[in-house]
Amino acid sequence: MALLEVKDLDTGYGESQVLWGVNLRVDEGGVTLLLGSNGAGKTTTLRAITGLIKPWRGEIRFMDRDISTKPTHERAGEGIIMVPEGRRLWPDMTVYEHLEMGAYTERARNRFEDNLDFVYQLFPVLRERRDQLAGTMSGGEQQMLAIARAIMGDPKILLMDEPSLGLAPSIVIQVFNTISQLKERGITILLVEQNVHMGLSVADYAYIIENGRIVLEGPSDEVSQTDLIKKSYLGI
Amino acid sequence: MDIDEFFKRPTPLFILILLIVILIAKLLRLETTDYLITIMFFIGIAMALNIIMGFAGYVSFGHTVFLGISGYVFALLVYYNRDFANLMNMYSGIPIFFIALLAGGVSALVAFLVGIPVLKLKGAFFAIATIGLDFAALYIIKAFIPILNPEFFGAQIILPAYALAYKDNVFVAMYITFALIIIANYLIRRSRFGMGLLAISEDEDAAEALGVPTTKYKLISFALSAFFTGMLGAVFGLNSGGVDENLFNLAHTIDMIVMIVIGGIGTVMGPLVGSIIYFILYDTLLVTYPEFNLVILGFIVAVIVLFAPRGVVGILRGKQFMGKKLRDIIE
Repeated sequence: MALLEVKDLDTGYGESQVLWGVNLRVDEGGVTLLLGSNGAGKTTTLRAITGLIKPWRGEIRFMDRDISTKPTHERAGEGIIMVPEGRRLWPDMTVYEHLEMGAYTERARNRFEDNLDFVYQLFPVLRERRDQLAGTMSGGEQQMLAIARAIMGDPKILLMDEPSLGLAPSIVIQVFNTISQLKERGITILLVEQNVHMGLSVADYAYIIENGRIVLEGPSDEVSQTDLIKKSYLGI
Repeated sequence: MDIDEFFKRPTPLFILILLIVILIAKLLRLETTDYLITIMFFIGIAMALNIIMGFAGYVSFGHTVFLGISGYVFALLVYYNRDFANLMNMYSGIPIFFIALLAGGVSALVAFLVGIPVLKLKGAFFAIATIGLDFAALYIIKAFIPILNPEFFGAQIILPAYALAYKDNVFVAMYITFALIIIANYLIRRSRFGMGLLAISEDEDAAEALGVPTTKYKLISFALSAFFTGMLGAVFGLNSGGVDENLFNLAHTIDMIVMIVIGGIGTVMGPLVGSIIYFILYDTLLVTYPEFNLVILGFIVAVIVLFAPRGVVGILRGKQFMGKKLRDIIE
C-alpha cells in the first residue's frame, strides 16, 4: 500500500518553478531513495511534502487522503517527520530538551517512553550527553541528535534530507547503519541523497531526479545497473 | 505541579521575595509610592516584552505603541465614564486593575490583527514593521484626539480631578498587574507553549516541522505581550495624571530591550535581574550626574553587552554551583 503519494507536483519559489510534474510513491515499511545532484529539486520535494512550501499544481496524498492544504505542524502531527538538511538543531537547548521537543505532538507524547528507550539504545552517547547543549557537540553527534529528535516524533514516515552531508566518511557509514536499523524496526523512510553508492545499498526503490523532473525509477538493484547511473553518477 | 518541585528552582522563590520586598517597602514607607510604582513599571515592561522578544525571539521594536494605545484607551474611559472614574477610589483600587484589563485587551486585539501579516516577517523586517505601527498609531492619535474634545490640545489628555485615583489605589492596581506579569512569564517559560516559543526563536522551520503550530503561537505571544504592556501603560498613565504622545516614544522600547539584553535573553530571571540593575543605575545616575547620566549609562550598557553578550544571567548559566549546573537552577 502506498503510504505517501506525490502526484503531478509543480512548485517552486517566487516565480521560478523548480519541480515539473513530479510523481513519487513511498510504500510502507521500506526505504525509498530520491537521488539527484545539487539543485535538482530534492529538498524542494521534501519541503512540499512537509508543507513548508505550497504546491502550485498536483497533490500530496498521505494514507489515501489529500494533505496538500494542511499546515506543516498538522502534517507532523499525523506522523510526517523530517530530519532537515544541515540538521537544524537548537544550539542553546540541551540534548534532552531536543528529545522532549521532538515528541511535541499529541501522538508522539503518548509514545514518549518507548521512543526514548529506542533512541538511547540506538545512540547510547545521547544518554550520557543528555545535559549537553546541542551547539557544543561534534557534527556527527549533532546528526545523531537530529535523527533521534525526529524518531521521538513517532514518525509514520521519516523524511531524511542528505543525512550524510558534511560528515567524515566513518560517520557516514554510521549514519547509514542507523538507517538500516530504522528500516528493521519498520519505520518507512524517504531518503534524499547525493551519495549514490550508500544510498542505493540501503534503499529498496529509487527515483532519480534531474532539473525538477523524475527521469528514472525502479527497484534500487535495477537502477544501479542502468547506464544513466553508471555514466552520470558513478563515472564508470 | 508539585509544590516542592516548584520551589526547588530559585526563579519562583526570587519572584516571591521580590513581591514581598516591594510590599514591605510600601507598608514601612521605605520608598515613596511613586518610586515603587515606577520600578514596577520598568521591570514590568521588560517582562512584558520578554514574552515575544525573549521567548519567541521576535524583537518588537515599536512595542511602546501598546503603552500608548492602552494609555489613551484608559484615559478616555475614565474621562468620559463617571461610573468608571468613581469606581477607581473604591474597593482599594481593584477596579483600576479591571479597567486596565479592558485597556490592555484593546492592545491585545490590535497586536493580534496586526500580527497576522506582520509576524510573517523576520528579524529586522519585523522590527521595522513594528516601528511603522508605532508611528501610524501616533499620527492617528495626534489627528483624532484633538477633534474629540478641544481640551485635548496637542493630543494631551490631562485627567480632571474626578478621574484621578489616590496613589495607594494606583499602587494596588500596579502591584497586581506587576505580579500577574512576572508570574505569567514564569508559567509560560515552564509550559509546553513556552518550549514551543523557544524552539521558534532558535529555528522556526525546524519547530514547525516537529509539530509546533508556529503561526498560532507567535500570534498568542505577541498578543499576550501587547496585553501586559498595555495594562502597564494604562496604570502608569493614571499615575502620571494623564497621557500625551510621549507614551509612543521609541526610547521606552530601547529601555525594554536593553533591560532584557543586559539581563539575559530567553530566560525569566534575566530580564528580571536586568531591569532591576538598569533601573537602579538609571535612577542613581540621574540623581548624581544629571548632565551625563545617559552617557555613563550607555557606556556601562555597552561594556556589559561586549563582555556578556548573553547578559548577566547568561554568564552564570554555563557555570557550576554546588555541583549543580547553574543553567538548570536559573531557568
